[in-house]
Amino acid sequence: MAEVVMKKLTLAGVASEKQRLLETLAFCGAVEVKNASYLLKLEEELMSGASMDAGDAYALRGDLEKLQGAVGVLQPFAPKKSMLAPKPQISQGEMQETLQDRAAAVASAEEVLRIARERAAIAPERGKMEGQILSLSPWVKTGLPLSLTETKFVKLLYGTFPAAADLPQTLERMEAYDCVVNLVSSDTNAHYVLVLYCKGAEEEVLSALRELSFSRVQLREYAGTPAEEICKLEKKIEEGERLFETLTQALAAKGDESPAVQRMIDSIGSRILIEDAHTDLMVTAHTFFLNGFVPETRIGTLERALRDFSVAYQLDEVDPEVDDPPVLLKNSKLVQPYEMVTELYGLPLYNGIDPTPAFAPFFWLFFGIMFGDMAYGLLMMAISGLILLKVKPEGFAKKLFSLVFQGGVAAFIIGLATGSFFGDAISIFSGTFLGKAVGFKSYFDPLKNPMEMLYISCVLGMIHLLWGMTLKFYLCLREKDYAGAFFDIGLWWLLFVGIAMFALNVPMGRYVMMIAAVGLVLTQGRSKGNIFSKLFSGVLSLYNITGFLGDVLSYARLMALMLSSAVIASVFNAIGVLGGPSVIGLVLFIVVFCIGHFVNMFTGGLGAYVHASRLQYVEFFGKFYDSGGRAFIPYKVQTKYHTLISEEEN
Amino acid sequence: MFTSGVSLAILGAAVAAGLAGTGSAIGVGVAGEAAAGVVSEDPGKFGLTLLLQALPGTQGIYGTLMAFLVLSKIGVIGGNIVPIDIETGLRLLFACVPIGLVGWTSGIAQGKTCAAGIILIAKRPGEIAKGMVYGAMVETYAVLALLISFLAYANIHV
Repeated sequence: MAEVVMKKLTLAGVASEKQRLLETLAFCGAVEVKNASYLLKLEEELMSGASMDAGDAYALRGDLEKLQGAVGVLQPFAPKKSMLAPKPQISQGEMQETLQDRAAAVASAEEVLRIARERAAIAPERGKMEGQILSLSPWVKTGLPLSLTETKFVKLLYGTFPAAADLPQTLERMEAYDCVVNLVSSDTNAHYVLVLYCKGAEEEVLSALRELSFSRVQLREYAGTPAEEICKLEKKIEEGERLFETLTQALAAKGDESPAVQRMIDSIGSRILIEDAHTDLMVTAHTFFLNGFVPETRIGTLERALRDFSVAYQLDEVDPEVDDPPVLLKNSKLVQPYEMVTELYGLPLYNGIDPTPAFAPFFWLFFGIMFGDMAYGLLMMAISGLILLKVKPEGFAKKLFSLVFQGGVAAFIIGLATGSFFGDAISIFSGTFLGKAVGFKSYFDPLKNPMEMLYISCVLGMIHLLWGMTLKFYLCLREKDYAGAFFDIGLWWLLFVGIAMFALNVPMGRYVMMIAAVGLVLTQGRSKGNIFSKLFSGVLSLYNITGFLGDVLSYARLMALMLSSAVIASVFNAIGVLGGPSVIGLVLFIVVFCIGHFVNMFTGGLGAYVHASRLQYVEFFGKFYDSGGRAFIPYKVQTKYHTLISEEEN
Repeated sequence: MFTSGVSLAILGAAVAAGLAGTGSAIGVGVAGEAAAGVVSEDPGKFGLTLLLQALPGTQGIYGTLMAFLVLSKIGVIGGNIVPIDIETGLRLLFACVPIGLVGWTSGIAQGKTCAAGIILIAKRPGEIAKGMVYGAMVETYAVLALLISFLAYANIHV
């Protein structure tokens, strides 16, 4: 319905222009380049002497990685931007200019990364030194330099007894040996002792100590007294802190470079794309060969781009069976956002049918019914509208926010009909705090007329399903499958008409119904082999009528979700006014109101989106739609931080 | 045992909110466990996994909805309790059974389905719509149960 026709592009040019052509094509974005290697196999003789081209993006990727690292590091220091600020613009020429400073930019990025590494190493180093101070501090009282481990006759031994040990008894037991045990300090972990013993008594002393759960402490790495060492470490920590400050300032000073680095990243990204495109080309000594797909709508752009090249090219009709052409949807601005819903399910086949315009009004209406509230709708419109106007997102994000905006319109309109503004917030609030309940007029209250709402839901469902069958009918006619159109769809319609007539007591209804049923029994098994299985499948097909009923009943979710978002909103309003008409009551109301309606908007909005999608995917698409197409991915420069503007527009 | 229907109606509200809420709590929990696992690998998927984790939460909302409707019908919310007879109380109680039971079981089942959907988007984030639709398939039965509960409730007059 709304798919763009693709053309097959075959292009040959001279090698000297190859690089410039690839650049031009990358910025015009009209072509999907197809890898040419299949041709080497296809026509081996013709292609002798040709080979696949090679690109060199290795160094570029290395640079890109460094620059991306630098942007990450600089992010906290970058100039603050408003969340709503649009991305800066960049053009092909500006990218080329930017690339001339590549070496300097990479060097600067390396410097940033080096500083960041050095800065990141300070904290663990500091942690280590703090641990050392902690292990030294119990020994401060000894006042002995730690390098002193023995004298001519005596050895010094630093160690601990467990905190649980009975210290006086331990010391008393050690008196029997040729040693002195000095208690230096104690804390909750251990008793810290310095043992002096004669070298001759080493063995007995050590074994006695072991029995008393003495454990040795290694302090050999230090030279001065514990107090001196601690002082030294503290000084080092301070130095580290100063260095950290200096390095942070250095990074902050480079923060302003962040936009330039981002510019370089996008520029290098374009260069990588172009280098990679080389690998899809076939080359001989003096020529190159490129093939791909061009959407019919972009042929003009392509032809303008190719004007100043000495190339030979032709555009052919695609054969969907052989060429595997990509799919590009084309819809009016109003319908475009709903392409997102189609894309998430799966694109249509190339020669299939784009269901987007067919379901868009239903999606819109269903979302509105399930999320109908004036205030919610206004909020959705305001937020998405602000983003669309200020940030100017592109691609998927643009479709998403446009969809949110349109959903907001639907919610507002349905809310107007039901008189719902944050549920019944206005009447509850004015009733409690102003003494007189006022509110919007409700033209239709689903809570008071649930049966009517159920009927409306099911009727909408039937229309939706019959519309799906109509599309199937159209597809069958297009494929010249007349039997399918009239037996598989037409007879069902006849059956529905008969049932409706029967239900309304129209005299002929019974017969219309029977004719349709007999027709279905006779035709639905027509693909089967023998007469019995033909009849059996025919009879079995009547069972589908329950399937149709199930489909219709599935639309009851429209009513259920409509009720649930309305009732939950009023639950929060009712809880909000429990404090009564007082200042505290007002504060309570505001708090409950904000939290409650935020939660309801999130769950209700998500539910409405999911179920509006589901009704398309399961009930509607099930009737006629085949997905399985491949998206058109143009050979086009992608930018992360900038909006690419074409030079033609300037 | 009962002299008025009010306690029966409150029991009904308890069945609706309690059982359906239990189902949702378990469902959201199961989905959340899967989501945390996925986010441990890729913190950028928080938003996507949260969408799927929220889906099994609706059963609890449906249950609360019924409970609220019943409680406001008999005046427990609003202040003036309407003295109803045992028959009416039993009717309200039975009206709450569908959403209570189906909310409970479908909440758990939907939680598992959404957990599987979360694993799906761990590998293929582009396929989130399909994961959501699998979850919405389960929810159909909670919607139908709510429908029956509500229709029964709407035709009980006190």
